[in-house]
Amino acid sequence: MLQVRSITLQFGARVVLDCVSLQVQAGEIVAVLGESGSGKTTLLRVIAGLETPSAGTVWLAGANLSATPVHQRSIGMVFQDNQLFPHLTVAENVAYALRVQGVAAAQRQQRVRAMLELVGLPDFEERAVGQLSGGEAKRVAVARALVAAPQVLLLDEPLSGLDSALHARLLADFSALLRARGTTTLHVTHNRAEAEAIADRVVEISSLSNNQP
Amino acid sequence: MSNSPAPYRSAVPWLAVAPALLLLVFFSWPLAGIVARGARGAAFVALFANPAIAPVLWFTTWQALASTLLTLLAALPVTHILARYQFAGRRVLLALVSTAFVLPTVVVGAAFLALLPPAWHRTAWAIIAAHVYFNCAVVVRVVGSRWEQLHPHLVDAARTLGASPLHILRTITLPLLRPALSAASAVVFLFSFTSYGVVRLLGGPARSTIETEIYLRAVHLDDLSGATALSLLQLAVLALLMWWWLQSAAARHSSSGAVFTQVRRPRTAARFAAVYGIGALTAAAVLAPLLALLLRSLRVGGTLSSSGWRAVFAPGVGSVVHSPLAAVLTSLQFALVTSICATLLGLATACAIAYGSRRLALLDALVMLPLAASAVTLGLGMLITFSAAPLNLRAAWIITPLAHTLIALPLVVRMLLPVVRAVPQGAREAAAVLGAAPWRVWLSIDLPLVARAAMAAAAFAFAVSLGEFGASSFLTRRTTATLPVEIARLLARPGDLVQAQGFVLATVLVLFTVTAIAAVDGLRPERLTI
Repeated sequence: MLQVRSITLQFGARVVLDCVSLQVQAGEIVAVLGESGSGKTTLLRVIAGLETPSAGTVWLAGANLSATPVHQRSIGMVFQDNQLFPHLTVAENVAYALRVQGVAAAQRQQRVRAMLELVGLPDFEERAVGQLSGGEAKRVAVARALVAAPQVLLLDEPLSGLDSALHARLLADFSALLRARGTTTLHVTHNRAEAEAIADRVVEISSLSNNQP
Repeated sequence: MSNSPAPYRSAVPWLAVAPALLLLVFFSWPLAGIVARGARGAAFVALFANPAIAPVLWFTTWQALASTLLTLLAALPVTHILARYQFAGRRVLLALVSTAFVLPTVVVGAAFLALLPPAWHRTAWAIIAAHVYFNCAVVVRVVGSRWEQLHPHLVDAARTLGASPLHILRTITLPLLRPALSAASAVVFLFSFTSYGVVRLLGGPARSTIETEIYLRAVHLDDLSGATALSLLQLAVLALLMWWWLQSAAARHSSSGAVFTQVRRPRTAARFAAVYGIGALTAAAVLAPLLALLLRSLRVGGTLSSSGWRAVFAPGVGSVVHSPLAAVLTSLQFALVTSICATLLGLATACAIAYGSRRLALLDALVMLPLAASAVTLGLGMLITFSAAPLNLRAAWIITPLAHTLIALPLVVRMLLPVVRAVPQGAREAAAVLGAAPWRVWLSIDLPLVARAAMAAAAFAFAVSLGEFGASSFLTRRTTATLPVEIARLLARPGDLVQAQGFVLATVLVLFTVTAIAAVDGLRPERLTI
């Protein structure tokens, strides 16, 4: 279970997150809805440990993550603009976390291939990431985040900027994939239809702020 | 000439005449002189049979490698904070690091003489330290501009995938920076390999590079065939390095990512401390040698004294001609002549290249050649070519500013060409349609748009001439010694007051150079952050 407890984040005088709290049960898919600039991305970055909150804590499976560095949190994240590593092939991108964990080469190759098949990109191993279409790159980004089986997956507007046919296909594919794997997922978007299609539960980011201690 | 802008077609070929003549007479001819003298089997046999030469080649190479490696190590922390963080004093730090790079090599040598304890003088490490000092700016510029284009979220992505900071450096940051790192290393190696001024001041008999050995053989040992053979060897090594670099540079730059610039303030206390710590340390490292230089100019006989300054600027009556003050005046005159010549010729060259057909792009390559040959080679070539008929300029003062013009010209053309190319053709055509003759079109449209850049180029050429040492050390005579030549002469002599005068002149040269470069920066349009 992921718990966000009274997170406040200020950049200078600007309050980006004002005492935000949220719970996601294990295996649950929660979508957070909000306009751009409402702090959705910042909330994900705080959970991942990429931003340090001014106050509040993030808990995962009963443990306080405040002192845990990003790379030891077991929280995966799909970035809005993918951030695939431009100097690595598709397979090397997906294998990155496995390599970090010291998974043996043979097993690594097998898991990467299986993961690429799951996201619908068989035989893409040796492609350069610069040659992928928008939808393919998004699938690689999801595969890269999922392959290490993180305890929580954070999706930051994963389907924005795609045309509507592709949007619908990826939405269905990802939704099925996450459900089949039982991945605890926090998905942020400004698109209500997308949120309702993918999530077990939809919350407005504005409803998460509470100023009572 | 079908590609030329309509108003200028007939004028274009004439623009190329003066720069082409200058290059042919004062660059190609001397170089041919070196080849004719040096490219003889006997000269090479004698050179390699000389037991003094192998240590020179070895020292030149290993000190260049060590300088390159240490420059990378010293520059990467400050490159990182400049590329990634916004902090108080960022612009000042960038300016300081850049200043170290534009300081004349003789000044850097003198500053390290002033800074380091005498036991360190004439050691390899003093030379390497000075190389690290002014080459850090190369790494900051070349690697920094690539680094600030790397999206910070790439690092974030690797962190969420479980990679530790060290692992990210090894697997993401360094591989993505590799093209820039190789390019910077190649440039630093080249500068260190051909280093002359620093080695003349900080090296000793056993610390000679190819460049200083050329000087020693030509000027002090009267071994011109040995000097020219070494020059040829140096040219061959440089050509090989350039060929290798151009070959690999093409492959390297094919995979550049999207342009992205984002500097942010350090947020955690640890980062804050690291950023300001690195910044302060780097600033101190840049300023320390200059401060030591100033202090040393004020110390005579172990006490604080202005007698060094008085000896330079208030010499006894009748001694002005051969005094250090004469070198100040000579340098200013030469810099003025160089500045005027290089700017006019550079403007003509840039216009000829920009307005002319593809054939004139050859001029572009030709004008870059003096950059590829070292200043020492140029000086040696001019010395052996113009000391005898048909063109004996040995006693003519103009020979030194001519050499300076050749050295400044490629840089001036590089500064002016993009500006000349950016002048809108439509405006010229409109002016021509309104009845302006070609010369009037140029004066009313082109000139106002390139004037600022031309003034910046003039200031830059001025600074280049002030600091030039390689060619000057061959071409000046006792009565036409420039500041760097006089500094090297004074600092090589014993005596407290003599040394103090050398440090005074070096301090003056710092002030002149910094002023000229500040003028260049003030005249330039707003630049990228690094």
